[in-house]
Amino acid sequence: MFEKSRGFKVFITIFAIVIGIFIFFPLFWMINTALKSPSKTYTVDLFFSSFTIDNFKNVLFDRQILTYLRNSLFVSFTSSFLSTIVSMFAGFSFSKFRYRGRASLMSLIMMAQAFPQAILLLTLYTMMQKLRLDGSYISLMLSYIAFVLPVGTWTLKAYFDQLPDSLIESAKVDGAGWFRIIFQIMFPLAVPGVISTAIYSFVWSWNDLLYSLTLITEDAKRTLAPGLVMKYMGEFNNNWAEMMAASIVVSIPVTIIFILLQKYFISGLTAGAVKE
Amino acid sequence: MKKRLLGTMILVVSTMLFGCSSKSGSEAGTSKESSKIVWAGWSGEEESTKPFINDLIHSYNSEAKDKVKWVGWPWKDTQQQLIIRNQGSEQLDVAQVDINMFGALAKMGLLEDINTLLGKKELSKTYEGSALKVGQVDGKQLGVPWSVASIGMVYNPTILKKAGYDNPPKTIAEFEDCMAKIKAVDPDIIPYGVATKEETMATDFQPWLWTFGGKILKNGKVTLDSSKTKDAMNWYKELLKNNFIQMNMTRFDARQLFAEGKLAFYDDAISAKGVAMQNGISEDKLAESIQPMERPVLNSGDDPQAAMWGHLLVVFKKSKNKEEALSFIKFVTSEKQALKYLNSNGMPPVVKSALSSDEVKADTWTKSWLDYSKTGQRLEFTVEQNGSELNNILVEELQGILLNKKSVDEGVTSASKRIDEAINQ
Repeated sequence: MFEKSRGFKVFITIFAIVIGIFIFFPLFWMINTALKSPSKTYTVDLFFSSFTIDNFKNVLFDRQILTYLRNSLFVSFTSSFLSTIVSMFAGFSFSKFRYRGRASLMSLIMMAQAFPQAILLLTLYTMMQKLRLDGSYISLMLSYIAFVLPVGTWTLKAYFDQLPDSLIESAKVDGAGWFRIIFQIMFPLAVPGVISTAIYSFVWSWNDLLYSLTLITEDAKRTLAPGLVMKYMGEFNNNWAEMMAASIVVSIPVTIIFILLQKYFISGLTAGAVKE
Repeated sequence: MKKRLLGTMILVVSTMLFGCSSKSGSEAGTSKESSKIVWAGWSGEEESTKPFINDLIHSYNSEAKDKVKWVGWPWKDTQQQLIIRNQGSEQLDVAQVDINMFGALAKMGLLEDINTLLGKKELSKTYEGSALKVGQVDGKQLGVPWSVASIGMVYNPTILKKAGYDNPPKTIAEFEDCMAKIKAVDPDIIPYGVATKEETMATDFQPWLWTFGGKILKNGKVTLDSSKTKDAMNWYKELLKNNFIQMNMTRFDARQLFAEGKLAFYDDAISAKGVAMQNGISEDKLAESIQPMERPVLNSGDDPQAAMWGHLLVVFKKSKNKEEALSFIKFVTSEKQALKYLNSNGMPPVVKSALSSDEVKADTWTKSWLDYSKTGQRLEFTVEQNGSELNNILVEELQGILLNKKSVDEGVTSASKRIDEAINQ
């Protein structure tokens, strides 16, 4: 009854507008800065007064940025793909098998998420050095996988928990082996969970600065986040206008992927939230 | 749904294949050729200094037996990366550091004493004395100066002329009068862009504190809670009350606003002229738009204060190529390379022969700046291991006072107590 009252609707509308402004104003200011000349960066006015698309032109025709973009796409897609595969098997195992140490292992994996990234960097960096992997994409991908695994495994475990064990039993009765049960019955049913894990992993890898900066030092191998910081943020000068234009351009692939797959992402994340 | 999924999968696989098949290029000093010396820093990554650094490495590698390889990060991340690499076992011989990074690395005991490699006599024969001092900690020469001057003040001669000042003010009284006149001529101009945010607030405050006769530390003891500090703080408050300065001003804001003609004075390094050009001041208008000046003094006859600033080159204790690293440092700081650096990026030399050269004498900007740096001193937290934390405490308390959250007495006492605790923890 309260939900349908006029006062409630007005309150919700105003609340939504305020939250909307809070979320979208930084994005708007980013676009505003990108469409102004660098000398007007610190002027508090809208881009109409000094409209320019030069910042976008400079970014789009900059081969270095395109190299960073290509590297980021490669690293993010690969680490997302690999971490999703590993999370799928781990989540399935925790959900459908009962074995000694299962609960402890699950807690241990969750605990890994509790450590700050910066602390783990020191150990991971030393480990990669010992393995002679520093400077390679493998080191970066392994680090990303290590970070995404806890959330991915738990997300997919929650998803597999929703699927009835009777499905496995009836498949067994029909003569299906574990390989067929996993790949042809269980995994296809867990697609929303898989996609949400893949997107989470992709975004994590895409946004990372610290690990990429530490593990990759060769310019030609750099990913976007450190590449853009190096290019536009200097000791004496910051080119905010081009930095904003570059940030808008490079966020387009992630936005497209998210828009295409958002409904799976939401249903995957909310799996297991309600017991029926 | 299946089509969409299939499309996404094709995108993933094609990107992975594309990534795998791509070949990575290499730049000067970063190629796979066997390198003996690893040099780290940030100048080789920045657009403005990258060509010079690449050329420098190329010149060295074409002549020397021991090749140099460059490893770089953004300026703000360099200290963190140098520490991470030192904790690991990755080769790192020479690094470019600024004064703040230098202090932290020195206190961590990561740096080699150059005196043991080159000898005090040789160093003092080659390098200018005040520059050498910047790299000294507890009697050890832990850094070789590469480019050292001060954080000084610059002014806009055109704005000052409109306010009736043909020359910059010499004393604090004149400075206040000048700012009041500027405000009267054009209320939209912020007279002084002193930093009131981030760590640079602590950097800009200290020379003023010294101007008023105060010190944060004396012989290892915190002496901040004094009447001199309170005088300096009351003066800052007065400037804010009169709208001569503004809150939330960073160095980057000040640089851009100065280039736009909206600031009359601000504090910066010797590279301020180059920054002004990058921010839109044309070369033909430089002389009428930006000039260096001595910091105004409290009483005529006082020494003008300045905080020393610069880049140093350090050799790591862990390096197995210390001798080779030193000969590379000698090459980098040599007269020939130093003058090239001055011409390309306006960075001042430190070797005596370069300082007495005709090029430096003819460069009025550099000459004036170096003259104004003669009475400069190192920022007080430079050689404290937790310098960043101490700076943050100072900034928090200063901001608290300026924003009227604390009285001057309360803020100064609190700052003094917190700094004392942080140093002795």
